[in-house]
Amino acid sequence: MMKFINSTSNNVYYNLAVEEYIFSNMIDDDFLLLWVNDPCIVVGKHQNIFEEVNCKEIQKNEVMVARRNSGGGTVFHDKGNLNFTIITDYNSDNFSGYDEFLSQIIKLLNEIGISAEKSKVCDIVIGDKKISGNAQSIKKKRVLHHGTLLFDSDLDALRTMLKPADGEFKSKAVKSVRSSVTNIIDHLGDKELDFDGFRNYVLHSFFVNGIDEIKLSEAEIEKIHELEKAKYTTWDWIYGFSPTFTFKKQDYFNNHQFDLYLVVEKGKIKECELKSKTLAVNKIESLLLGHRYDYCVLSDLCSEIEDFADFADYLF
Amino acid sequence: MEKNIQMPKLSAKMEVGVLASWNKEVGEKVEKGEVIFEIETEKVVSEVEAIESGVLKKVFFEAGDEIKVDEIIAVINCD
Repeated sequence: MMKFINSTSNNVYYNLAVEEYIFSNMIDDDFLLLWVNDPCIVVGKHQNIFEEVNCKEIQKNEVMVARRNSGGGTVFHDKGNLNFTIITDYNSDNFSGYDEFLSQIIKLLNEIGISAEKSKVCDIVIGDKKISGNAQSIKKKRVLHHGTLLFDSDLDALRTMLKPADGEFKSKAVKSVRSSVTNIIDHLGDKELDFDGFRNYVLHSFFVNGIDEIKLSEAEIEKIHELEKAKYTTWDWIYGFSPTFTFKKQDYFNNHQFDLYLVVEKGKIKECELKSKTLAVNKIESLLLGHRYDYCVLSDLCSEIEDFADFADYLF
Repeated sequence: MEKNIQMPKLSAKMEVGVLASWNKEVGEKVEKGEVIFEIETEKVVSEVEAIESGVLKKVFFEAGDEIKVDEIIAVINCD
């Protein structure tokens, strides 16, 4: 029997921790979660965040960035996007992949006149524009499926944060695939529906015989907050979990020509090779080696060398 | 006793998977039920657990490699 767990938080880190907590600890039932985040960027578990977003712009503008536990690429969330999560049992012999989850969503959209259909493996589209991206996480005998539903989202807002650093990245990380997107609200015709109305409609579609809601206990919420702090908000998870990558750049810094090569492992500069006829290469290599490939960290370090403070801008 | 760890078939249609990350290193002890590595295929991240306890002896692929179902990924020296 499916049960509903509501999250009233708009904090992406907390909501990801709620998902994980339920997935790991509550194994006797099926669950539906509906959640909404304040504007943020969410990368897939095995993505190189440095290739996907501009980490300098993220830090300068204090944009929230999170890493989820499921696969796939980078997505934006805001309060016009409804996230849904379904947690249920998994059996590799009869696992349909995405179909059994997507078909439920597509059906409920079709029933309010939205001509939604499945595209590729795990997208839901209206025509050639995407309205829902989905991903999954499987462990032990359970599967967590989650997806976005773009109802009334600001589709352009965080796009400038996507431009990665000006340099050459190489890695075996999962890469994002950009899609054309559209909002469900633009396809409702005469039907009047706002975000809350849409959310309620989705919820009731899953529970035609009445909503069976479970409230998390204080103790459970406490554990979720601990998980949020221990994992989802940490630099080591958000940035450091990125697969190993290399970064190459050739440029001029204050009229000094340079050729830079970095190997970054677990978010830290493992190798640093700098070629330049006029910069103090050995000093700079020693300065950067072993440190986090993080704009704030590297800016502070570069400030230790005279007339070198702005060099960090060239690393992102 | 040495045992091979193969790329599992996670669904009826699966033919290849990407070894997304290693949770254990060569030489490290692995307990039954512990996660050895993760696969990512079509945005599904799956944790693959050890069926028996032992020590991870050899690995033939690194994170990011695409591997066919049933191909041998690693060798474990079982207790």
